[in-house]
Amino acid sequence: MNRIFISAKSDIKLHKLISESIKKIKKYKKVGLITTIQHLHILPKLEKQLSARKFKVLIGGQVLGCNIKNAKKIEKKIDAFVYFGSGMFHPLAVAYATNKPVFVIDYVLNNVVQISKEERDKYLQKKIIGRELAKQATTYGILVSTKPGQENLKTALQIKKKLEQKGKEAILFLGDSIFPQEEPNFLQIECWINTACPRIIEDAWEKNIVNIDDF
Amino acid sequence: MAYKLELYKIIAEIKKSKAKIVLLQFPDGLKMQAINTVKKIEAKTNATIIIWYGSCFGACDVPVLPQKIEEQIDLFIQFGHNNKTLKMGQQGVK
Repeated sequence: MNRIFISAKSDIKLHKLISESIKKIKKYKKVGLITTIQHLHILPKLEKQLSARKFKVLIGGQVLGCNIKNAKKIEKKIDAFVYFGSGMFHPLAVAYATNKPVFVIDYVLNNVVQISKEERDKYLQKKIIGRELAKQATTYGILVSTKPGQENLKTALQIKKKLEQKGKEAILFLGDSIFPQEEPNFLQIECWINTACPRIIEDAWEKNIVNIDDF
Repeated sequence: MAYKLELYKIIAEIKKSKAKIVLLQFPDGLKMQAINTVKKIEAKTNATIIIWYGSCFGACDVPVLPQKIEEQIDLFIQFGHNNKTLKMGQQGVK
């Protein structure tokens, strides 16, 4: 099977949200632009508009839900990130993993919002607590996805071995999409260790769930 | 109410085939027994057991795995169904 990926470029025109954006970000001199692949071609236009209003603009480029290295690489050179696109999934990843304000120009909702400090702090606190709680569990469920880009069976087997050497119980689970809906079937699990998509832990899990790096 | 999971059969098969990694699939009503089943099998064999974290609607619904994972799994066991006697899917309603 031949696989082709189409980036599905947006034909959105930069419009009135620009003046609203400028109002909201005016106290930041240097801004970094980030987006998803559908809007990557918009960034140079946005750069032009913001530069004309005396902002110093750096283009970070494309971010994924699980990979924000293009934001990280410009983080130290800017005062705030401006994400152009729709939805909060991608800009949240940037807000969680950087120390700069993140503004979202959402052309679908037709508004410009800043991701609040509270939202970021809440996430980070949850992660810290999760990390501590994870140490205290005795029965772990290790989640592995069959999705080719998320699969991590090898690491999961290593984690199981390590936990068992420490006298803990570790049960392996393999699935396609890892949803919390299956969770009530496995009540003995005290803590999930997620080896699949790192954003899974943001879903509504009953029990504590941590990614490999937080464990 | 209990269901006979015939673990002795599974343990014998694992020992006979020297399976190292085994994948178990349980339908919803049996999933609550999955973890204890893993513990029992792991205690009696050297195999590493994995539970399928997903649907199991019938013998029609077995995990289709990417080659990279499938080649690491030596044995697959589904509980609660059989695939020998009745036709499945749209063939089944004919």
